[in-house]
Amino acid sequence: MQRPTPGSTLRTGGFWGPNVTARACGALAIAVLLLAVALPLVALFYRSLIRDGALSLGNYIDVFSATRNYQPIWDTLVLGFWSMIVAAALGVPLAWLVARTDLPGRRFLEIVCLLPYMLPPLIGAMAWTQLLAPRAGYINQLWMSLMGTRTPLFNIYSFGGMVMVMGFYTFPFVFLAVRGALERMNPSLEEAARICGARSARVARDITVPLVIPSIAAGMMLAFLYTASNFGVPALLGMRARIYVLTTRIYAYVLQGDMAGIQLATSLSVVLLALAGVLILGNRWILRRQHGAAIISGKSVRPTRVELGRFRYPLAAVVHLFMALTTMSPIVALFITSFLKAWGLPLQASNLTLRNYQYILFEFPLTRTAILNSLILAVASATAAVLLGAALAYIVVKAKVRGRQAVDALVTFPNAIPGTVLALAMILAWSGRYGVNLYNTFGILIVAYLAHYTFYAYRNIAASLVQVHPSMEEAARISGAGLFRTLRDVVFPLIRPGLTAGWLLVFAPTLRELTMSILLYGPYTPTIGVALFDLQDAGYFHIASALAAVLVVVILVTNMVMRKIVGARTTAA
Amino acid sequence: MASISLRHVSKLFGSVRAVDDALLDIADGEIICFLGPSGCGKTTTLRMIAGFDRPTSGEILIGDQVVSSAKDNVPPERRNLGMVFQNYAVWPHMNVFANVAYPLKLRRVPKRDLRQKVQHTISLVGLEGLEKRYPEQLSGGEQQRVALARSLVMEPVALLLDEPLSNLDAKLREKMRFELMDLHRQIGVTMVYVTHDQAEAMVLSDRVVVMNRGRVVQVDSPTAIYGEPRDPFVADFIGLANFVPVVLQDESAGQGVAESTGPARTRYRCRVRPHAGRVLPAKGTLFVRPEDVAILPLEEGEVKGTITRATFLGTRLDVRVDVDGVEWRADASTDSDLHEGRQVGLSIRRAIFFDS
Repeated sequence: MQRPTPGSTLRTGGFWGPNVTARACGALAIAVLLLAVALPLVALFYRSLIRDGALSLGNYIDVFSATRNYQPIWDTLVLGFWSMIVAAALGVPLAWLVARTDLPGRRFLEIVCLLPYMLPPLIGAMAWTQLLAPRAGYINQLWMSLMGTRTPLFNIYSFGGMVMVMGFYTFPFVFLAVRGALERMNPSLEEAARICGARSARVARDITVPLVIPSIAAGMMLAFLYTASNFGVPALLGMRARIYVLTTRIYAYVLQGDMAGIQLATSLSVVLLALAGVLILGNRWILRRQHGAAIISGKSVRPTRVELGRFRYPLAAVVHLFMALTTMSPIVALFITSFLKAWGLPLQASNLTLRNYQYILFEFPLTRTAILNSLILAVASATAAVLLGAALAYIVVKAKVRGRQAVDALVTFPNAIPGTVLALAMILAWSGRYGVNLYNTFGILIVAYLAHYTFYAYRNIAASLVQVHPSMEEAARISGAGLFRTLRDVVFPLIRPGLTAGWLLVFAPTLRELTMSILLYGPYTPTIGVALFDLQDAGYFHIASALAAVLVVVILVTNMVMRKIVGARTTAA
Repeated sequence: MASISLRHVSKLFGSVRAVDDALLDIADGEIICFLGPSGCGKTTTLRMIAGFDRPTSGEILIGDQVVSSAKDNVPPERRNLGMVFQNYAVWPHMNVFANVAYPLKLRRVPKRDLRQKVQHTISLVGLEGLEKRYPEQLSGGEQQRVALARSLVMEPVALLLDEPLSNLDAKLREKMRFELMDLHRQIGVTMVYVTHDQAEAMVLSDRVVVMNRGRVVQVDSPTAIYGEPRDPFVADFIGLANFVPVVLQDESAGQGVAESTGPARTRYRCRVRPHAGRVLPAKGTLFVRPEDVAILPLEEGEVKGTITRATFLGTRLDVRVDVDGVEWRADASTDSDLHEGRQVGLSIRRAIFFDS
């Protein structure tokens, strides 16, 4: 007869009791986490302080004594700053319109606003290039022929181009934060001001705006972080104009291939990591403070919507047109190019073809290998991330072991670490120096993806687990089920949506990953992201577009499936 | 300060009648409670008085000024009302002083007057010394007081309270009830209070407005609401009640005789409201409060029954008696020797007949 074990946690039962397998699983999960995250980051720090075999600050002195090293730091800050401003300028008014007014087509706007959130900025950069490349961009062509001039309207290969594309791709961070704040805000806070005698403009000034400012700031910091971490946009748009930011400078140094390059890249990575740390801690600090000021919410009163009156339709027209131009037109341009025999040809029936698709899917070895690789990597990483995330979530949420905050931090923070930094850390830790050489294999890519994306699976599964009241498990245990039987029969069915969503949330971004892949791929392991980047950079826009178009469709389908599963909850992919 | 009148006020949300033809005059200085189950329209009525919702038809007057009608709506900020919200709605980014001072700031009250008035109101609600605190550093009860001070500081014509005590724990709630009464005694402002807690309504109000499904069912003093409910809904919603199916056999001058539908055909004397079109014998319900049922030795009561359960409730004994197939609930003192299975006689002090 099995001895009844009270409770359902890993801590109960004797060490040699029936929970020894559970303990082993938990220990394994934590070991994987340490190897995939902690070890590489420690290696990165350590190596940044080593010069000629001895501890030294020499690498950092080098960084700050050469323009080509410290200029990227400055440019990263400036680029991040301006993208953040663009993001706020777009995100705040849109959030207000969607959350607080009777603007027609709000639901539709909401979806359009999330579109850039789903698609990688690399695809955005490609698409905008097709519209605004100095000579052959669709918009520049139109402009030049309309105005009879030979000066293009706008050159995308510039600092301004980078700001524009990053701004369009980061405004959803601000949008989501502000919309959430406006919707969560208790309407009686504003009503109280009105009954005190404040007109609506005064209510906005004294109550609404001050209460939303923390959310705006938090969203802007995320936009900044996302911009500073991005590689695709500055690589496609900036390097051609000899503008280097931290990610592209690190990339260039790693590509250089020698010891000096790696050393400088390592030190620059630590600088970028510090910047990311400041931003993410700032973001959390603001959100925590805002949480501290949480308001006891009573019954939910419908939010008061501002009636736009006679401005309703004109404003709707302007907003929808603007959103169509900024989010839809690049995607449309991408699809058009994918059907053209060559980029730059006029858009007419005789120039249209399906050959690009046939070429990338069935003929061209690079894209065929890349698609296959990315699929294998995405499926493998998503599965591994769900297993790891589930084990860690169970440890943190249910087992409540000591040190669970550290476990939580080790899963959560790598998601905010710029991919470039993480990839370099992987190279330093896993290319033979410590006995294991994963370089040029799927292995190093999977470890990097796991480090970066397990968070998505973990967060979703943890959220589902929190919903499972301990009494559910206790009821199963008291009925005679052991720990694993309980997990299988009770916990697993209840958190299945979280598991599925977690899997898709890791699958989607790994499928199109570029930033880490470009540093970690080997001769046999190119990925879709790498292929897209190479093809676009080499000027094969029509082929790159076909590949991007396939990717866009897959991502949108994945997102639709995910929305079905997790309901209306907004998810990052 | 001012009176408030509702004249045939109705509010439709889509096709739902949230408030249906409400007719009510609230006197200057009166405390009125709107009482009813959730969704009965009491909060909507309050929000219409405040000006947040506009009536679909009818008028609302504050003093002798029409503030709400289907055509015209004076915005909330120009009604000079105080309001305490269920969740207090204390602004988290302002400290206690700033919260309370806000209405005066909007009215451009000079600095010295403002300080003095704010201080006075803050001490009125007992928050001296907490002026610099932010809401997150305050307990629920203290936030409540901030909300109260803020709504009183500009001497409103009336004070509206939307279930202000429902987020407090039971002990504090009871304390606040009496504090609100004291406050009213001191400043005499007209108070309109919304609650679903009958005890709160009973303690606080001069008159209680019972609402059900959008309609005002009864407006009366707490005693009258409890003792003379107009219909079974009011009788059931407030306090405990026995309802016994009966047939009214005889009536004259407000008194009648009703016969139970059980096999023993027990007869009860009861009060009967005049009702046009009633034809005897009339089917209906007999309403009796548990405390109006006296338990006596078997031979003394007018009605006989068997005790099915006697539950000790601390101060009283809750006794269930089977009378003619119907379970009665009676209230007995704890020293009586009542136990399951004992046969007893019941004497009914007061019963009211409701037509079905």
